Amino acid sequence: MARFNDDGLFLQRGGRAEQRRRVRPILFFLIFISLALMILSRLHHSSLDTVRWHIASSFAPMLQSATKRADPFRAIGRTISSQLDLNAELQRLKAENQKLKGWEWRSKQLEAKLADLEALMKVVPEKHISFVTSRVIADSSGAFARSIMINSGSKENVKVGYPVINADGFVGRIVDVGPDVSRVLLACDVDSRIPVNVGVNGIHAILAGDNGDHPRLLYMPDDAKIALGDDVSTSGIGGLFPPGLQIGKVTTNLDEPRVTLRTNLDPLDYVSVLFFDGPARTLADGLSAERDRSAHASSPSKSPPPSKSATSGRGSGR
Amino acid sequence: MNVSRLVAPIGSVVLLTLLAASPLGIPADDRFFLPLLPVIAIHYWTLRHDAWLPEWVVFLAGLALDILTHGPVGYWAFIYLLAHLIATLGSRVHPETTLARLALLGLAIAMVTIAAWAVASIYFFEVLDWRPYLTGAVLASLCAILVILPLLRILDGVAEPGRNIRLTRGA
Repeated sequence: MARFNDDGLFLQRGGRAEQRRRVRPILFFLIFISLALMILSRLHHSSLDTVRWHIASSFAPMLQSATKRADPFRAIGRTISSQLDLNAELQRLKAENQKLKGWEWRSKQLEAKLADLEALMKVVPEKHISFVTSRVIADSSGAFARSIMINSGSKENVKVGYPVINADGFVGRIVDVGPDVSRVLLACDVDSRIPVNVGVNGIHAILAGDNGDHPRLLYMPDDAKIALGDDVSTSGIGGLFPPGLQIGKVTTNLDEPRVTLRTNLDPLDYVSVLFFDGPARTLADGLSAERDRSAHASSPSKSPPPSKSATSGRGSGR
Repeated sequence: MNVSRLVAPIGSVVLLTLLAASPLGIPADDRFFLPLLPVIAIHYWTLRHDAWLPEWVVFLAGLALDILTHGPVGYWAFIYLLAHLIATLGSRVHPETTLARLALLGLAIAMVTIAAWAVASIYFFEVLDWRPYLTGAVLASLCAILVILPLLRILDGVAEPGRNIRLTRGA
């Protein structure tokens, strides 16, 4: 360190006289606040959830911008990973293509037969389900939750409980809706419960996530006969999801059956939200509207009920 | 202290926090290293006595990550504050060489990872699988050496004041 004396003026080169930092009391105060918030979070305090979702929605523009900026890096990563297993993928696709050619002919036959039978039985035709495709702007996959944030919300008529799919199959369902963004609870989240059919016999079960990659099958009948590789799809029971959405296949041991999902939930870029207003949701919406009307009629002096907010109906789909 | 000494630490911590919540297509079990990246920036800037990274910024960064990742509110805020505390205590040993600084950072990442695993286990009332945490710590250390630290050094160089000379009037 150089030091000069020039008319009582000292110069210290480097300016690193004070290297150590003090631990300030505010640090301990903030640690205390963090721990208090964590305890409130553990107790599932409702106000905390509401505030959290409002703040998360306000981050949406920043996240959208960050996602766009990260696109080249994601593309590079995807190119590298696809190049690494290109040969294996080619072989798998060839085999799958051969199998599908056989199935195409068979499915056309079955389709014609089914149409004849439906006409004969005067079956009510299924409603066409419209959808909106959205971009994934945030990923919260980790030890605590498996969910994603997408860039469509109540402005696009997205509602809580709507099923979300992609080209491979079922992804999850909407649990929070803001004006421009929504949160999708993935099928493998610990809070996810989906009524499903298993195998050709259509055995009813509940697909329960545990934050792992392979959700469990619960509440199957004791005498249920399932096999490894059996298809798992939504049953439509409860009216939350349309029946027949492909979810995955039964894997691991049959004593504690688990499902390998058709969709790889890690590199999700775009997903589609199905506008499925099943009977359960129509009934719940009707009851909610009726309750609002009666509450409004009983207190005419009060201000009119608020318009549909960012978290309207929150939790009703869970 | 010039403006860049305020912007560089906060900017880097905020950017790395946003990166941790971005959909990068990384498998869920391997994603744990992403929230550890802001820990590297917090550690780096806390050791730099002339950089401005107050505790409340660290707290807010952690809170933002908790909200965006839908984890327990306060979890990453607590872990980041712990990282700040470790770095503050680490600054007392005066790590002068690069190797000493790297060792100190490695130790900080290890301690923060153990704390993150322990707090998550207490939160769920069960002993969680430690392997994703170990993988995360190793990946975060590699990222620190190969990417984050060189970038922070460049940022630090840009933000460095022109002449680092202090004038004091003597008796």
